[in-house]
This record gives sequence, C-alpha cells and structure tokens, in this order.
Amino acid sequence: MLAAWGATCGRCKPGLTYSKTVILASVDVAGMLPLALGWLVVVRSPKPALRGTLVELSRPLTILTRSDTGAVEGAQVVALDDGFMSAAHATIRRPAQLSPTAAFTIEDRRSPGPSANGTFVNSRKLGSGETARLGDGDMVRLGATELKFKSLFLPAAVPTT
Amino acid sequence: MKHHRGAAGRREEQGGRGAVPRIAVLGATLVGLGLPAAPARAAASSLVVAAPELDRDRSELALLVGAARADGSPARIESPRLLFDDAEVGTLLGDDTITDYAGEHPRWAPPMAIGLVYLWSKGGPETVMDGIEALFKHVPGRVTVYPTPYGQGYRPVLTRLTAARAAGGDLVDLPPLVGNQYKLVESIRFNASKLGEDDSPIKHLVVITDGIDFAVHDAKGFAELGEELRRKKLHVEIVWLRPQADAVQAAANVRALSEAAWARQISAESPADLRAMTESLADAIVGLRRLQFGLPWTARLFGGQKRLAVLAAVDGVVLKAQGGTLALPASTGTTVGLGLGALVLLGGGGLVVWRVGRGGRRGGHGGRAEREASAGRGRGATARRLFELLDELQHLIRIGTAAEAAVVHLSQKFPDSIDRLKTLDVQKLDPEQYRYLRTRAGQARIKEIQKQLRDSDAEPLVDREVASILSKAMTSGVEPREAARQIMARVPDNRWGALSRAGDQNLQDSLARAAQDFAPLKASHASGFAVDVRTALRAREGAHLSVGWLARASGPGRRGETLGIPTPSCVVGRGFDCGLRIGEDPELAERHAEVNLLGGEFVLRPLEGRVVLDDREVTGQRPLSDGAVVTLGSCSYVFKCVVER
Repeated sequence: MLAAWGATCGRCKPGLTYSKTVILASVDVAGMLPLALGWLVVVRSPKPALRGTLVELSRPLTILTRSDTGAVEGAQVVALDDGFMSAAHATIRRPAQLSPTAAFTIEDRRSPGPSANGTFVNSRKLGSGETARLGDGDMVRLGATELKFKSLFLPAAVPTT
Repeated sequence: MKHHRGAAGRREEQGGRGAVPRIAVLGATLVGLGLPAAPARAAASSLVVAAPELDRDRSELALLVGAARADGSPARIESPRLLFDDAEVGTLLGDDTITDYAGEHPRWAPPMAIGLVYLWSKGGPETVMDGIEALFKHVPGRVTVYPTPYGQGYRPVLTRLTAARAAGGDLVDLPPLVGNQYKLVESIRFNASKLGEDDSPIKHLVVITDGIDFAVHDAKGFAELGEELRRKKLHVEIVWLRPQADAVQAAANVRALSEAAWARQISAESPADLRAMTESLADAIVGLRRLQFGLPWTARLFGGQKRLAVLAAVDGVVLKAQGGTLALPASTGTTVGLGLGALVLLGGGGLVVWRVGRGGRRGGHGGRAEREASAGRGRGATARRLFELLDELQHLIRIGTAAEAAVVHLSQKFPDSIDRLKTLDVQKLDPEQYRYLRTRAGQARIKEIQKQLRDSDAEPLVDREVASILSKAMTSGVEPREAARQIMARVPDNRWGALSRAGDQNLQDSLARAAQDFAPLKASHASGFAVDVRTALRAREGAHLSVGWLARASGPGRRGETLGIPTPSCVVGRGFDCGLRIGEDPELAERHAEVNLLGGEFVLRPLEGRVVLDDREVTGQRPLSDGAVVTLGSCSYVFKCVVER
C-alpha cells in the first residue's frame, strides 16, 4: 500500500532507492557496474545564495565543513559557509558494497571530539561515534544548514540475448 | 457607541508594537487596493500593495498585500518579493493574514476602514443579521466601521454590529439621513462621503440590501454612482437578494454599478443563502496578508526615495504591484567613511544582481488555491487555516516526511492551528479530498505526529538550553533574530518547533519558571524578547524550493552523471542555446524536450524529439516525479528532485 502512493514509512525506508523502472541496459555490458549515487540539496542555509544548491556525492568520502580548508586526498570537501557549523563537522560515506540494501552513512566529527552543535538526521541528534544510515529523502541538519539527502541505485546491466 | 477618535490618534496607535513605536511612513503615495491606475484589471487577477510601515530601526518593512481575481474573489499570493526601484531587496521574514497578526499584536490597528450600508425595506431576515454579525467577527478589532443602516427595523443591525465588535474597535455613529424616503443610492453616497474622509489607505464599502431599490430604470445612474465610488478608491462589495418584481432590471443595474465600481457582487436567490454569502465577504476584506521584509543594511544606511513594488505569483501568473514611493530616512550613523560606503554599495549591488539572476519565475499552485478557496469560502478565516493545514499535512505524508520533521514544518507554518491536530478525527474528514490521510498508513503517521505534539507539550518550553541561550543573548545585547538562529542551530528541532508554536501565556509561564535559575530572564523586557525570538523562529525563508536533476542510467556518456535542470524552465537538447545541453548523444534533437516548473512541480513536454517516460511514449505535458525514468534519444535518465513547499 505504501508503495502505491510513492512513499515509505520512516523505518522501513530502503537505503538506496531504485528508480521506478529498474534500468536494465542491454547494450555495452562491459563497464556497466552497479552504481550507488547520492546527492545533497541545501534546503536551508544562513547564506540565501546557497539555498537550492545541488551537491553530488562523487567520492567515497564527503566531508561537510564550515569553510573551505583545502583539498583532502580521496575525499570531497563541501564548504557550507555556516558559522554554526564546525570544521569537518560531519562525514558521509558511500557504501563500499554495492547492493540495494547498502546505504550511505553519516557520522558526526570524531576528532578532535564531536562537533559543537551536533549533527541531526530527521531531527534526531547523532550520538558520539554513532554512524547513521541515510535513506532517500532524509533531512540532515548541521548548525543552521539543512540538507536533503537523495539517493539512487543503478543495478549492473544484465546481458540479454 | 464609541466615538471616532480621529485619524492622528489611530495612526499613533497603529505604530505601537511593544514599547517600540513605528514610524508612520509619510509621503508614501498609495495605489489603492484593487484600484491600480493601469488597466491591468482586465487580466485574470490583480495584485495590490498598500500601507508600507517601517520599523523604527528601519531594518524591516511591513506591507499589506492582497490579490483578487476578475470577479473580485480573493486569490492566493505565492513567492512574494520586494522591489526597490525595480531591484529585488530584502528577505521575507513574516507572512500573516491581518486577522492573525492583529490577534497577536493587540496594539496594531489594521490600516483599513469599512463602511456598511444596510437597506431592507421591511425588516431584514434573521439570516442577514447573523451574516453581518459573523462577517464583523472576522474583522480585526481596531478597524473603524461606519454603519449606515436604513429601513424598517434597522436597530438589530446595530446591536449585532456592536456585539461582534465588542472586542474593541471604532464604530462610528453616523447621523441618519433626513427625510422619510430612504433610498439606496442616497445611502451609499452618504456613507461613501463619510468613508471617503477616513485617512486609512484601504477602504471597503459593504452594501447589503433587499434589492428592491435596484429594480428601477436607471442603469446610467448606477454606473455614475459606481464611477464615483471608484474615484474615491473604495472597494465595493454588494450582497443583494433578487427581488420578486423586475429581477432582470435589478440585475442589469447591479451589473452597471459593479462594473463601474470594480465591485464584487453576490446575489442571493433566497434569504436562506444570505448568512453564508454575507460572511464570505470576509475573505475579500480580511484576506489581506501582512508581509514583513527584512531590509538590507545598505538601504538603512543611505536612505533615500525608493519606488516600492511587490512581485508575486497569483494563480500561477507573476504579477507586479506598485506600492508608491517610500521615503527611507538615512541612518543617523552616517559618520561611516565614504570609502567604506562605496564598498558597501558595490557589495549590495552585486548581491542584488545575483539574486535577480537566480530568482526566476516561480509558478503558483493555481488549482490548489482554487480548491482551498472553494473549500474555505463562507467558513471564515480560522476554518480556512485548518484546511490549509490539512492540505499541507496530506502533502507531507504523501512525500514520506518523518513525523518529527512534519511537526517542525507545521509548527512554523501554522503555529496557531497546529494544536488542533491533537484532536483530529480522520474519520470526519472529506473522504475524497483527504483520501491519503484516511489510508491506514496515513492514519498511522498522524498518530505519530499527535504523539510528538503531546510529548513535546509535556516538556518545559523554555528548558535549560533555551534559557541559557536567551539569557546570554539578552545580557550581551544580541538581536532576537540572532538568538533564534542560535536556538535553531543548537536545540533539537522538536524542541524549538514547540517554542515556535507556543501561545503567549504558555511562553510567559515557562519563562517565569526558567527565570528562577537564569537571572537575566527576570528582566521586564524578557518576555518581549522571547516573543520576538518566537516570531523569528516562525519566519520561513522563501516559500518554495524546487531542485531537479537527471542521472544518466544508460547510453553514450558517463553512466551516473548528474545533469542539473535549470529552473524555472529549460530546454533539453543538443543545441547550444539549450538550458541543459547534452552533447554526447547523436540521436538527441537540437531542442528535444523541455522541463518546466508548474506550481513548484516539474513537468516534461516533448519538443522535437521522442520522449519515453516510465516505458510509455509521451506526446503532451506530463508531471515528473522523483525516480521517473526518462528516455531521450538513445540515453535513459532517472529524474530526481527535491520539492519543498
């Protein structure tokens, strides 16, 4: 029934959503690996210009921080220009194993200690060292910035005759 | 009956908000509500702006904004933006109906006056009396009312009026007309002459009559009267009962009058309809919204003459209304060096250009507004608020919002009516309109929301964390808005959500309890500060947000690539002028398809190329929902979006 009106309840939400029609490409099978895609959209920000910004989570590791502190090897650094955020406030990880049950995860800063104002997922504050799974449509709040998380799972292409 | 205290007295009173007097904006010439000089009236709807009101520290500007369709019925305003000399400035801080705002600010007087002409030759039916009482119960207190009741048995009108206005408001006693032939035209002229002398920027003339006087051969006379009323910038609303005799002639005359006066007229076939019809006038009279904009400090610093205008979507069409000229006094602190001033100006200019470039056109919810208006018509503002709340609740549940997030969102948007959800009985709702709320899953989510509301009621409103932020802010002179920002950033959402919907009394009580541990909260201005913080917590940034993008699922090009869709309108294709240009796909047409925003939602329409949406070829416009698969040329894409309302 829930699927009938395009929504799922908060608890049984899958980590990665499929598209409504599962994409099974028949051409160019080589190189068609499953893909887990994730995005963040800035819904609320102390900087009005940032509102509506789309951030593609293009690396295995994304660090959300208050202001640009330079590149980090192998990670994407997203500066959200928010005085209520801490440096390296939260980290989002892409699932290492690509299956529909995997999910992007988020955690608050570990070192040097938790962020000043905490990381909230759907209004719930993450405990220290806690790693929370993110589902499509989850709200992430860091300081005065609110981000909406969106995800998509593209399965591997299946060769057809 | 109270006497008319005079214009000057009212102006001062309207300026008061707490202990801080507002400066009445002098020299602000106004284009009257519904009466723009331009012939824009011919269009489907009109947007009007009146009564700009500056904050004492010139950081905020409040405006009354209203929208009406061609038939005079009120329309919903969406995404309003403030323009100074045609450049966008300011951010929307508050958006209240004037009734809500007046209820919360006992010293604010809505800058409007209402004239009431009542003529019923043989004693009005009870339904009309009930209607008048109901209508004036919706009108905020402190609005001056000029009654002109004539005909047999007019006294009940005055008692009903006085009863409805017991909350406080000026009821001006007009002397009756001399003579024993009381005619409708004379009554209207007499009332209009008195109402015309009132200095309120918004003036409504309500005519309630049995229609017998309309049944004379004098269409030209009525048209002239209409012209007169329009020149006096009165908004005319007519409720009349079709007379038994000469009903056709009467209808022609009413049409002549209402066309000349740009009036709204409602005709009743039977006295039984009169109550609801009379009450429904409240939509037009108090359907105004009071928008509060924060001004950039560049405007504050330099002051000057600004041409004021408001841009807003009305029924999906973006309209612009001129609001006259605003004389902004320059800041007293003009000792700032000129060099710095120039820098500031440059910074401000850059910001304005950026925002205009990004702003774009946002559509309105035409159909939605229509439905709300029809659902709420005749049921009054409070009921309408509840319908809006239910619509929003249904939307949130449909898109799968978590209960916590829904409570916060609804607390901000409907602080005054969200408490009614606690006792909501889903079974009593219209099964057709609220079918999602009535599904089992919908009911389960409502139960969760109700539990959230009850749980947060059990906790103290001003807990230690909030109290410490408030007292620190007060001792260090931080502005309420900044304190609100700190609370939003540090306190869990459900806690500050509860604070944002708290009533005055609860807030005071909780503050008093917290003051036992936090001495600064004992100060006399603490409660005023807390109320300002609560107001700031309710302020929502721009109403809509629609962000959409395509993720490539198959075909030439990088799989998984994200292609952002520019809003509000974009053509997808291989051409260089396309908003979303995809060069990799040779099978794509120059202008293959277009994606537009319609009422905040994305829609797709094929242009020159073949478009397959969720395995079906489409030829016309189709809505795009999150997760839809779109095939354009030889590539498939998954559409993803975030739509916030």
